[in-house]
Amino acid sequence: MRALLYRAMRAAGQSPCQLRGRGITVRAVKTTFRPRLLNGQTGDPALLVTLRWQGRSILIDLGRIDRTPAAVLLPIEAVFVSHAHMDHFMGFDQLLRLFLARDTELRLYGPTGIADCVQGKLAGYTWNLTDEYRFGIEVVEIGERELVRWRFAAADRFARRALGTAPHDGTVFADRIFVVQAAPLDHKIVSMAYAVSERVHLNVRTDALAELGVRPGPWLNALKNAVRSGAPADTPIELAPGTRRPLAELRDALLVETPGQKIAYVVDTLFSPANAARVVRLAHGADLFYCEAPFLDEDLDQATRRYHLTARQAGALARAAGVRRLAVFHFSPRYEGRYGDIVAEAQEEFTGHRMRYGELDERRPPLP
Amino acid sequence: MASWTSDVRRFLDAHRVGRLATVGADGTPHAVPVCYALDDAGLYVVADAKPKRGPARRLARLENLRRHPRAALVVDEYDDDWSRLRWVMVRGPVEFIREPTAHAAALTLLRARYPQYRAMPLDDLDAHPIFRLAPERVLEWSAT
Repeated sequence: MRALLYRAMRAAGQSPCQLRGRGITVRAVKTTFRPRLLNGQTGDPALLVTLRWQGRSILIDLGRIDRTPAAVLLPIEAVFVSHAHMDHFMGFDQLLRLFLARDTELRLYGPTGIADCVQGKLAGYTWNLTDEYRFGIEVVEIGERELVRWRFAAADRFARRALGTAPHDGTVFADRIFVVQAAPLDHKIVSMAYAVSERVHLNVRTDALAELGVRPGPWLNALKNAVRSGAPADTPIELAPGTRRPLAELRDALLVETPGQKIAYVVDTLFSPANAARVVRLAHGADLFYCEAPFLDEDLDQATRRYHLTARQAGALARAAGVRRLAVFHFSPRYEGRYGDIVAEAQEEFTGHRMRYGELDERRPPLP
Repeated sequence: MASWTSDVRRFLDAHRVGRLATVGADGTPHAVPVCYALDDAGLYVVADAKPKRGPARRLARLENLRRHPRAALVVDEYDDDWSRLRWVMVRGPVEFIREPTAHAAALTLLRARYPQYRAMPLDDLDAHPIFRLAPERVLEWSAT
């Protein structure tokens, strides 16, 4: 059990020793982010990041998503698109179809020009019967120093309306739980890289639960959310119908803060000095680094000509960024039957250890 | 982040040699032909292993740039039909690449453009410095 706990904590970016040294017992740590490549390592890029206990998801890149059940996609509240090449953006229609008749708003982030692409997609259909619909898309174009916002509302037949601009310093989204940072990479066009970071991870002390004589339940999540949102110390938290305790008492007795989890995502990029510096800065210290590796190093010339990374380059970037785990994906179908070689080459460069065939699966802890 | 227009990038990609101008300690201009590669942040030039009078790291152009880290580089297209003349000049600050991953990346770009570099042992970043010329200003001229 202890080994399991430590492994989960490592995956969450936390040091078991750190907590152990403080004489604290926490509940088996579950990471807040649950990332999943909807099309695996070989299909179109689409990384779903679910926020555990929050009923919320974000999607990074929008390749085809037609094989993913609607129930998995509906909690998506924001999509972060790297660029509008077809394999990264063709899922837009499928998401639109799913969300259209719902009373919801979808935010879509991408590089400058993404609003034109959205407008072009929407212009391909006829919208004469959507006047009553409440669905709208807010598009945020990530420029060099400013965010440019647009809105396309179903009730407005998806006409493009300007919402204004705001300066940014790399952080393109922030709420009380997580922030998203972006970095423009050179793919001959801009390909946007993203990092999703949990602000702080709140762990629950199981020993203190017993001392307080309370049982775990959904109120723990309410407590965490109240703490994250900076609610006053005397905010009542309802443990059970009719049983309330002040926030400060529960927080001080039960919660231990550890650094939040960080996931970085890099796709379609040239191995160039400027890109390397941007990737290292963005992915620095990430718990999990999703990095494209379409080519093997034996096809280095082709990778460079096509503005893509090789597996070895992905490993070198992961090492330079000091990430904890590297997950390579976006493999070229030319290597069908040799995908293990891509993973092995990337991991060897990342860790300095040449893996034998099959070793990776034995060693790799499960994805959080 | 200054960068290229797609037209300039295509022109620089399509040509093989640039003429690099630096300034000496006493103000003397110095111009030399160089091979280069580029990404969206600038042009990269390596002190390579072609035959030279001294060690690559002591080249006059590098000494000049260490003292005065600004340069101009012109890439031109000559044709006896003068209606087809064209050049692009890049001016801006110069920075030596000190980070090993960035140095390796610059070498990758240079080796993709010049197969001759693949046979040269250029990986030691002290012996074979690479610098980046950032396109603070890009001037274009064409006869038509």
